[in-house]
Amino acid sequence: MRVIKASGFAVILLVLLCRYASADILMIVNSSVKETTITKADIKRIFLGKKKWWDDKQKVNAVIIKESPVHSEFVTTYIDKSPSSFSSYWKRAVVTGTGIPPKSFDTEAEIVKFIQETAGSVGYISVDTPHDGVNILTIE
Amino acid sequence: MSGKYILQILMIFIVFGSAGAALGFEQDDIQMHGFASQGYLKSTDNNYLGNSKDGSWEFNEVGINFAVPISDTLRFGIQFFSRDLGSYGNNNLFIDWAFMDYSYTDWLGFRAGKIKTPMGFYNRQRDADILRTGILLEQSVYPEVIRDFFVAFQGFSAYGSFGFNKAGDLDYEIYWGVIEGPSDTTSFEGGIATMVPVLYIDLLGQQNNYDIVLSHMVGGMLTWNTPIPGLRIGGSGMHAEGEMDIIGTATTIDLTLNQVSIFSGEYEKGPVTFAAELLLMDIEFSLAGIPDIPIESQGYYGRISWHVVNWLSVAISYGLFYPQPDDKDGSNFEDAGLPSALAYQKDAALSFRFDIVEKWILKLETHYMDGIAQVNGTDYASMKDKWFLFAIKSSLSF
Repeated sequence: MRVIKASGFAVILLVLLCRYASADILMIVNSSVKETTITKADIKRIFLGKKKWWDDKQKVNAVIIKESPVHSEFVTTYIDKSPSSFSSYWKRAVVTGTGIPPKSFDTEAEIVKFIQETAGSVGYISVDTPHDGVNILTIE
Repeated sequence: MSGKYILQILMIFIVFGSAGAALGFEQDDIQMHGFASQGYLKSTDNNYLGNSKDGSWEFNEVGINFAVPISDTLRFGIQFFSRDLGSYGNNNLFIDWAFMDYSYTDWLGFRAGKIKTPMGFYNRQRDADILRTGILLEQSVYPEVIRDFFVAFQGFSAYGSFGFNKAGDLDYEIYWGVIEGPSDTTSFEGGIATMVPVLYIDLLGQQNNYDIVLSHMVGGMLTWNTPIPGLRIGGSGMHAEGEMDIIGTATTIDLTLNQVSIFSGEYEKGPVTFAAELLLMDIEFSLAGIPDIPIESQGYYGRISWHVVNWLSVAISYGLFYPQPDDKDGSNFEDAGLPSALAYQKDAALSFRFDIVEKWILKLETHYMDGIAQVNGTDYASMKDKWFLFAIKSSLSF
């Protein structure tokens, strides 16, 4: 009985931890974006420059935060790259002319402001950052 | 279609594209980046990629590029470039790439202009030292001696990416174009001849500049970014026909790239990256008065890179190149009175990269080489089969 209770507690703790890990990051978009959900695959494609249009043909305008814990967690969790690898990916695109990197900002407040004001924009912030005036995408 | 005609089409795109977006164009939209590198090569024996036996500072690159978004679907980019690697480049300034890019959908876009050739995972970025741990890209698959054939073309391409959600995604690019203009190699000795000594000897060891025209060049690349995080595999190939005019002579060599293919694999797991590629080349040279010279070369390598800490990365690689794979031990070369070591290049390399600050890096690299395929010159009697190459390089980026 003790083993069953301990196992159950461990499972609950694990679920809570997983939920906490995935809840650290919020995907936010401009109010012009009609989507309300997004898959991890589409997050990856957007921030690697492969998905350039929303479903309504509006241009995707992705933005990132410069080196920070939230950026590290975002690229590791959703892009399957380390921060240095993500940076190298966009340097390659610049040097070969095959892509233009996402606009980058120093703070999450600047990210929120940009997304409030820019049609088609999408970015990520930590859950604790104030984000009035933007929509949240649920990550499927 | 000549390269000049293609550039005229490109200019038409620029005029119409700029006129259409003139009202909304802001200077802030223009992105400018660049890089500069200076290196030093020293070999214990044999001259390789320059006069390395005496030590060579002829080893640098400078590039500056501009990206101009014109509208949501249209952008223009250009990179000016200058390089020196022994007898290659000599710091002549030229346009590395310049093209209009029209994006129709995620899975279909078009490029027109001078475009870096999609060949293998690393050909397009081969000149940017900042993008890798090592100094020299593996010469078994990316030989500098035939760089002119692969680095860029003037023409058109279609490209795109198909997302398959849980099955990963598929990136493609197919192209048609030409390669025109003088080679950036100043000496025939430093070019094809070092890889194909039999061709050099058939031309009686002439040392001349040459112009390459490769017309009817078609090719493509397909990359599967698999659902396994960090794993991608790809294949690329091209076919081209053209000629090499030896300047100052009446000699023209017909050249057919029947097929040139690279098969690639890369797996990135945290700070460690594994990469392996295979090059297969089937090229034919035709010269009046001598039998056609088929060249079926083969090269491959494996590499492990480790981003140890923020400021330090280490890489080891091993590559093999065979100018003529049916003669891997060089017995045919020996029968022709040439050293058997011409039949292969075996290259074991160890590299260190130090990220001094964000935009300044320093690299150290050592190679243990077995074989003299691709070595400069024809004084075979003085060459050593087994030798070392050391390299040091520093790069800035902005």
